[in-house]
Amino acid sequence: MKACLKIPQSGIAVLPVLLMTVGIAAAGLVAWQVLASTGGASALTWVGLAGIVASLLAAGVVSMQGTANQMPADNDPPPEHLVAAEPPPAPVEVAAVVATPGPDPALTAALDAAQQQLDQSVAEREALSGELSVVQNRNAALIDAVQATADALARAREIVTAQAGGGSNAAPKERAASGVIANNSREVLDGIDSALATMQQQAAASAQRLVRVSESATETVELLSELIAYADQTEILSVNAAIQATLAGEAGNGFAVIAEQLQRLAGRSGDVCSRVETLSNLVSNDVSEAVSDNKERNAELARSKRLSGDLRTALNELTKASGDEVAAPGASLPPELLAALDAAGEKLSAALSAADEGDR
Amino acid sequence: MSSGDSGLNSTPPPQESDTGWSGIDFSLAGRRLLIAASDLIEVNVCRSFARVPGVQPWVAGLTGLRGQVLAILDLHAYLNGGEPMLRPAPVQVLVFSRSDTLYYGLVCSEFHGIKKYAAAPDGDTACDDAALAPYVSGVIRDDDGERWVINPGLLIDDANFMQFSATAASA
Repeated sequence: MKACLKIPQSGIAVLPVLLMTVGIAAAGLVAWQVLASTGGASALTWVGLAGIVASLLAAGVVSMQGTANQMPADNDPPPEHLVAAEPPPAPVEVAAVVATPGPDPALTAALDAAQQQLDQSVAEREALSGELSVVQNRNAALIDAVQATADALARAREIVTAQAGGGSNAAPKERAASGVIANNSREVLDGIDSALATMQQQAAASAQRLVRVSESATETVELLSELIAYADQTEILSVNAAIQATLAGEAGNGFAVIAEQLQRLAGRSGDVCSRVETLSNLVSNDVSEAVSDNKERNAELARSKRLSGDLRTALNELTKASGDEVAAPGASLPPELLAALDAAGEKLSAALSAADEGDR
Repeated sequence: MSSGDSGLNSTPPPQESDTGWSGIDFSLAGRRLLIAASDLIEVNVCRSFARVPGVQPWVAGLTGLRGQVLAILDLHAYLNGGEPMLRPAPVQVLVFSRSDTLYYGLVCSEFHGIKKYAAAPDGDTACDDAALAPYVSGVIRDDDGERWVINPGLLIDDANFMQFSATAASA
């Protein structure tokens, strides 16, 4: 039982196990209250209790498996909504474009600047996608765990309410054991609060990164408009050169070749602009989605905090109903219940190990 | 631009040489047209121009080009009974002239660059657009279909088109 309630230090990935433990503890507490109030354990009561434990255990294992599936492994792809609709295009061959004779130095500089800006934006976007994925998985696991615990406590409260006065009729030794469970549950809630605070800090850091990426995207768009203007001017210049070559007749044949090269350069510049525009729009869309996701995540965090507060209140009420006794050495639960909880703990430990393997 | 005279004639024979035929590809209210590169002085972007009162609807305005007057003309408005194209500045114009003192800039909806064709336009095919036909010197057929070739010299020779003053016309 003690092993089941141990708070893992490895991070929020094991929170569902802890919260499941709270649920089991709460179920045990309720069962014990029922036993104490009725003065004995009928076979039907034990069957019902085993059913509660088994259902909570099953929910916990399923939750753990879901959590393990949600936790990103190194080789797992990021969530679909954080991935671009199509893979990022290969780096634009700006050098090849400006290497042809007669490029405009300003155009070359603008192309280089736009390329660097885009590379930086894409790198920041990918890093941000990874962070958001981790935060999302952690938050989803936390929400599930908190919800499961809330459900368990709600059921416990219903049973305690139905057995009004049962807590006060319980024996002092049994009430002391109830205090142990309550204290351990409070420790788990403290862990949840700590994890929530960490996630809020991460969300704030992600928001700052989003602001920077958004600023980069805006600068890219500004550079792009300048680039498009250069490309348009170059195209018109090439056409005018071709017109002049045509007007010059035979004497303009040599110049016509240069004008044609200039026109090709203008066309390639236009292609570069199109690709830059596509990438820029991609970055802008991703940033917009990331901002939206971050807002949703903050809302979920706020909801988790409210749930945590509700759980703490419920736990306090439960403790009060059981007589608000502090843990006493040697306090113990009925052997049958302990055996069921130990079995549940072993299965949860196995699920935790499987989750750790999945994380690696 | 060494000379303002681009050698515009009212009935120029289609040019064909070893290097093929070069035409300026543009759209006029969604219709793709061509003008021979040899018929133009240049392509220009007018970022602003002055609107002139008392002129025909197809005279969009006046501006300067290297010290000479450039009249901005809306061929679409002329061909469609005076309904001008909506065009916020800047506008792209195809500049042509017959003298060094006055330039004409034909407004295009969209400019598609210069195109080279192996053969000169077919001058024997009659244009199926009655309004456009008087100013067409031939047709180019390619994978994109038929494109009529506008001859700006025919526009300059058209007294009706060159009647810029609305008051004189009504009088």
